[in-house]
Amino acid sequence: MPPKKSEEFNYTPRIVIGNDEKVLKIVDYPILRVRIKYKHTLTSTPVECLVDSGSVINLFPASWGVLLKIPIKSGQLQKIYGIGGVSIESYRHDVHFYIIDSKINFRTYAYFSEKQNTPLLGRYGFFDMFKNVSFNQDRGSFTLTK
Amino acid sequence: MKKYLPEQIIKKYSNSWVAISDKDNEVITHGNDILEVEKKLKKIGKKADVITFILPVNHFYAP
Repeated sequence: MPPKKSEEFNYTPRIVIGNDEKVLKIVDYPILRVRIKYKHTLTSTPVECLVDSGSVINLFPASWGVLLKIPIKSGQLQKIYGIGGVSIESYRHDVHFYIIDSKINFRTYAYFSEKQNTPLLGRYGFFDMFKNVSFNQDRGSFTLTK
Repeated sequence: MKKYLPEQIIKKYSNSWVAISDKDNEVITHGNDILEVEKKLKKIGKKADVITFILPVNHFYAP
């Protein structure tokens, strides 16, 4: 059976704790669980990645790449400028994405940085792999259409 | 709608990486990065459903 053209994913709610240790807010994030493969090695445990239309590229923590024995600093250097006016160094590598709870997988590229924590799925290397990426606040979900 | 990570987990493991079991909604192990968490999982011989980063207390995410 061919893979479905559109796949819908629920937002992932997260509690934000305030300084007074009480629940400040509940925020719904567009998060996907992803496994990545480099050459012939596939990560065993999925990692939560934020679908981030504000990020130009896929930006991952370097430790995820080290797990796959990627020689991080051998990749093409790219400086990334983000919130707070901070510039960080990242390195490009080709990887294969497997999105959990779906049939979606594709070969793409990501940038790895020692200064990045939450993995980001951005415009080039993720969004451009789909015809449409839509967010539905009413349904509390987002949809990826091939 | 997906389950919340409980308040106690968010407080206890803020600003760290955790390996989570969906079934029990519990933290199997934690560490400073993905590599450390995976090594600990391997050492204790357990499988997690997902690894995620818990934001520091009183922080939103705005990349």
